[in-house]
Amino acid sequence: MTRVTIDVNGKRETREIKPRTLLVEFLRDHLGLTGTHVGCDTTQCGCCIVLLDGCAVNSCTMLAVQANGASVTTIEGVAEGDRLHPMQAAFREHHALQCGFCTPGFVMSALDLVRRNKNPTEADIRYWLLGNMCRCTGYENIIKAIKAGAAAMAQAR
Amino acid sequence: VFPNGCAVCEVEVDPDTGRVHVVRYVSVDDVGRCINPMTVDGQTHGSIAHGVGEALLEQIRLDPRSGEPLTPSFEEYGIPSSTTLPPLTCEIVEVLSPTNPLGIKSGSEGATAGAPACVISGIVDALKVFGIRDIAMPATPLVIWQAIQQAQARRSPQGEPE
Repeated sequence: MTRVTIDVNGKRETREIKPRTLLVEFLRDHLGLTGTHVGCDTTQCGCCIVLLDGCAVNSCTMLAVQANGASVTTIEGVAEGDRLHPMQAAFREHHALQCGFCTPGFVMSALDLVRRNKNPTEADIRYWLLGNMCRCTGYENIIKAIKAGAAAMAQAR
Repeated sequence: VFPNGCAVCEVEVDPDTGRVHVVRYVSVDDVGRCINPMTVDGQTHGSIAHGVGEALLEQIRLDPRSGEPLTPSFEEYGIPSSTTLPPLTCEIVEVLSPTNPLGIKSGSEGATAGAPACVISGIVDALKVFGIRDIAMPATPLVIWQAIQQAQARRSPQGEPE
């Protein structure tokens, strides 16, 4: 067993875990934050994306000990209480989901895109989303939502 | 009384690599009375992606001797990505059904049926200059490249490129 301390959604969490524990297992099984999903377990689908010190990472491909001392944001940490983040609101407004399984990964991925590129074009968004897979939506409304979400975030700033 | 629709697409085929780009896709669907156009459109987008995926990418392969699945993960099984499809244009036509009080038929998943025919017809049209009349799904770059090579070999029996 080894001790890790990770700042998750602004709260410092310390747990004794097996060294082989994946970051996503730490979030889901140890902290009960089940909004982060495991789709493929092989780093292709992007359902498990969280922000690690602001950068989108696949939490199924990273050990929790690698995040020791870092700051992690999951989908649970995006809204402010009952008020949706502008990116979440845009996903809702544009119906950017069907079953919703992949949605947390898309939202977290989109937040990192907008951090790097405040005004992404449709082509920028499509290229960026190659790390996220969606079986239901055909991506059409997700792309519209991220464009609108980026604009709303720029306005809120 | 059936739901029905029409799909039209424009494809480009790179003859050197066999790679297909769907550059435009338009569909019109008669779903009877459309109660929530936002969700019908959303489902239509997804079902187009399913159909285009079947046409271009998707196939479950089994080892013929052992029956073992050879395409168990996204490493081997292709599904459409964010760059597979162009921006989609989807319209709804409401021809009310006379068979029920709400006038509803069914919506959204009809696009899955039309998309493979639409995309493969476009590919075959693009390849008719080689004398190709059919392409089996999934029309991966390898399948198309091989079809072009075979068509060219048929035209010049010595196997010399024209």
